[in-house]
Amino acid sequence: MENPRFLKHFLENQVTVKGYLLAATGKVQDAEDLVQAVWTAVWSRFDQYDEARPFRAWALGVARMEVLKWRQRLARGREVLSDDVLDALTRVAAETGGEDDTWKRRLQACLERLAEKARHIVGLRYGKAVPIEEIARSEGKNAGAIKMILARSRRALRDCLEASP
Amino acid sequence: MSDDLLRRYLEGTLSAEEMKALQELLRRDPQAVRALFQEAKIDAALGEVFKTEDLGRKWARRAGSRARAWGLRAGLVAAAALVALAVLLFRSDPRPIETVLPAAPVDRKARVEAERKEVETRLAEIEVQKRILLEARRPAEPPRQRTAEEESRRALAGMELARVEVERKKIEEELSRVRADEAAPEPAPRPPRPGTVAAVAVVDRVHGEASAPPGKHLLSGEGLETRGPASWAVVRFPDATRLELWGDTGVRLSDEKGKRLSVEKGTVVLDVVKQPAERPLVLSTPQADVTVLGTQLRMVVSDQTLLETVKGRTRMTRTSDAKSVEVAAGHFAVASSGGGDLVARSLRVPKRGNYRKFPHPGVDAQKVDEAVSRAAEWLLDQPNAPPGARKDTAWRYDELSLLALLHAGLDPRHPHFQGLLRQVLEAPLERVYRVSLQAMLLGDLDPAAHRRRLAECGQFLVDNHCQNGQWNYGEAVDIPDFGEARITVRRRRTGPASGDNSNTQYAVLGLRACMEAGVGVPSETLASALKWWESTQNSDGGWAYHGTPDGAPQNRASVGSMTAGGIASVLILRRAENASVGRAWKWLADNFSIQQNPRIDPAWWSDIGPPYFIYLYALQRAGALTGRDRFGARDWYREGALHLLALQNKDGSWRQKDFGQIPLPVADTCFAILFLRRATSPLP
Repeated sequence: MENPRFLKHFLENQVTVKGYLLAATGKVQDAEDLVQAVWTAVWSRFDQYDEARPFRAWALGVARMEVLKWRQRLARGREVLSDDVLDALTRVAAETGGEDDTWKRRLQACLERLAEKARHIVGLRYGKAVPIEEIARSEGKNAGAIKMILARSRRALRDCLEASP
Repeated sequence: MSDDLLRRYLEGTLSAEEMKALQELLRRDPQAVRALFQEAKIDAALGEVFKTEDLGRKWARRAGSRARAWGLRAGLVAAAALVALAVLLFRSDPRPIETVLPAAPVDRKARVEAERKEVETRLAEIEVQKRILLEARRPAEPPRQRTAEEESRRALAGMELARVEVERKKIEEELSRVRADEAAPEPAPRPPRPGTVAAVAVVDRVHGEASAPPGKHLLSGEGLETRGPASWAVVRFPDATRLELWGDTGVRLSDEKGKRLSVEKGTVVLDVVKQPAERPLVLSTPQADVTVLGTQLRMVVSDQTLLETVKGRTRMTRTSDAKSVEVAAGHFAVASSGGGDLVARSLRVPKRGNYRKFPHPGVDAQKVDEAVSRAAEWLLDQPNAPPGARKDTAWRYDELSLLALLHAGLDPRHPHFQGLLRQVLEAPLERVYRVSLQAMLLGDLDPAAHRRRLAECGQFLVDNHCQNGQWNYGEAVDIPDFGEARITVRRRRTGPASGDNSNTQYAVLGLRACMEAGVGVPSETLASALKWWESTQNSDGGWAYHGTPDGAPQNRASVGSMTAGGIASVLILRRAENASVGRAWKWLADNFSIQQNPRIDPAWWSDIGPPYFIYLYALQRAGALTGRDRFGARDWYREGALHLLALQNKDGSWRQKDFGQIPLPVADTCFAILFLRRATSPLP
């Protein structure tokens, strides 16, 4: 908390780590549980971190260890990504540049470009994790229409993010 | 197609075949890995962005005009990140939380100066942002046709620039106001009168909900209240006296005749610096007054007042009859309006306790008593982080700790016990393990007093029963309002298709506690659980973990902890021995070991180590419920007790070697206590 360097790294890598964990586990709940474990581990090992090395790669190394531990904890038959895919994912995540706080601001700017209605629905689905059926009920549309809006919105967001630096 | 596969993987709706197809795709195509990460990162960020916005709105509402005047979304994002970080770190940080904020300056000059400096810093930051954005807007050199990418970059920078400009103007306005404030002559000091508006303390920190935000000055006569069992707040006095409010706690400050703090309800922890002898700090509760001259203490206020002195000395005076008692360090006292004894008792765990003893050949009962007492002391010493600091609920051992402390012989009036028990009783029922342990705890503590809560536990367990007869980890269900009359639980929903035998054996123990307290449990629930156990016993006589989904071969192999748990479950459900119990008993006798969980596959558990202490507790239950002392020729209690005595750490705890992230010494120590105390009562 009192370490401004740590806070800076946290802000710059928060989304990358969470995204990585989500991709690695495929479940929001698991990713959220692991986020805690990862940052706690990063924090407790922060004094071993060599500032000369890229922080993101180091933190993702810690995250990968946590994913491996998690898999062993639950390995009773649940299908998870294989080791080589996980390693490829770690590499891809470590190679992405840019700081998450600025990236997130860009995402926010991109969100503003969405139609009001679409933005609202995206917020319900990804911000509050409301099931699609429930959104459909509250918006007076069928689930297919909501899915379509979500897919289009995601596409627009992706394009907007790719277009901006 | 691949897009759809990625999306559905992230939504958790892939079938096993589709999962294989996805793996294949990811292995073959690096581009797909990139796409997966990008999708997941956007999902993660959207979750954060919308969470931040909510938090920002809430914060603005609470802080009122001040936050609106700042209007700094970036500030809110940073604040939200800080909150998130704080929650993350405090959750697992076992050290007591130190306050990082300095005591707020109560003197006006220092306060105004600090405010000015803060606004100046914010202005400097926003100027930097503006410069960066202006740079991004600069036309290319030499002039040429701009690409679409550059166009959109410029457009975004423009939008951002406009926003930054508005913010900058606001900050400038605020700065000129603050500067004028600073230049204005200080209002003439008025002599402090009792009950004036002199600030007596400042709210330093808040987790969860509280009636005032951090930074708020509490004046004489004003109060602070935390709402919800997980809330937590810290108040600092100008002399650095520190006051912690735990969940659902209300206090009121006053500066009359020395510092006076009335605690209306809940739990407070106080670290009081030395007070002038003529102006002591007085804590008043509905039942008592406590005079403090410099000490550390904890107080729990409900329909009685529990006072525990950690350091120094305090004196507690009962309001109803003005009787008083001195409470020295390491002691506690209880005052209730109904009178009774007012004496200070030691906080140490009694060596013999009031616990019934089991003489056992070959086991030195005194050594067991000493070991258990040391272990309980260690448990009590474990940092009991303020509830707001830990949000994760899956890995808490509150119920297990209470059960172990109770069986260790700790006086249930002990303030730690009462404080933790209160949290447990007020927390929502969410997990099968914890709810089952809660039912066992209440059944052993005082089933008549807690029958309603036991009925709620029973309802939770019945409604979380899986379709195949097992239990899974469980989830919160609607709990009906049980009246005082005879309580019978109806089954209103089914849990998931299947669970695992570890959760299942604890659920059966929990249901037993409910039934013994007079809570009616549907017979079809019991029948279906019994059918599960009896129909899935392996041909060798043992039981396996049998978790879902069923993939690894270890999942089906008999193992000691599950077999012992299976014996206990069948006995509870059938209320008599049968052939199934006999075969399982034989398996345990043939495979018996006290050093390790028989037939556990260490490779499967290479990460966190094979579960061992939980096996000893299961063994104890099987032994207690059958009333047998021996597996074959092996005296399980004697061997287990001697082994545990040799294994105990110097500090009094037990812990499995080489555990990973999961903080298990607490659980291990609890299981060891329950074994040594033979906590399970035999069938009537």
